[in-house]
Amino acid sequence: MATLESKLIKQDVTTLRQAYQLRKREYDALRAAGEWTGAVLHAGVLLELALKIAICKNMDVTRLPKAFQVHELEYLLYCSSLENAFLNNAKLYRNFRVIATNWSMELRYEGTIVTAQDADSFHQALFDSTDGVLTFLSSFL
Amino acid sequence: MLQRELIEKIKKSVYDWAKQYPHVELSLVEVYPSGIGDNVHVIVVAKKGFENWRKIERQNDIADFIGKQLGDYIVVKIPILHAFTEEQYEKYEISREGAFA
Repeated sequence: MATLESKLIKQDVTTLRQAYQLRKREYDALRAAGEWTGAVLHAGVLLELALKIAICKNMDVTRLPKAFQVHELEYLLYCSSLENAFLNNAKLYRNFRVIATNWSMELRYEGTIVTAQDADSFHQALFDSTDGVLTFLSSFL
Repeated sequence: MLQRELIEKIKKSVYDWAKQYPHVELSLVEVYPSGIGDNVHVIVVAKKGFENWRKIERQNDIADFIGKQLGDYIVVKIPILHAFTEEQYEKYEISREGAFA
């Protein structure tokens, strides 16, 4: 008999947190090596993981429904219950827009060369000490 | 405010933004509901004037202008705003991706 478990994402929130930490170390290493395209690809993955972790916390669940097996950052922010908090801080929402507009998982397949300047814009948008998106989400991580 | 009305205001705001930059010649402004809440997506394409302007910077400039012009009386929810050259837009149309094109 099929159980409802099949409707949940396999990874639980602890695994998502571990994945976040691992991807963050890889992100730092890619930046240190000047591998800007890889760094940008990881930057978006970090935000995706952070939003999924925030959704787990706000839904008070350890595993997300498969409806969350997506990469669309706009959708994940909407479902995180944090959209209004972002909208109330223009700089934070602007930083989110930088990532949501310019990142997609399709970067994996593209030969696009990302410049150091663009990678730095991503970094600033995520880790700015006051309005960075991941700075804001750090309490969930 | 009706979303249709908001979309028209955002479109007008993009054209107002372009008036500040005589070297920019727009060829397309698309504003449409994203399907998530009352979010909208914006695509701006320029025939000329974007070539030597970093994509992220020109996108921020447009979004900041819209926010200043409309933000005082409505909540402007634009999570995605692309500002393409025509060449970048062509690639984007083909792949519907193309972050940095």
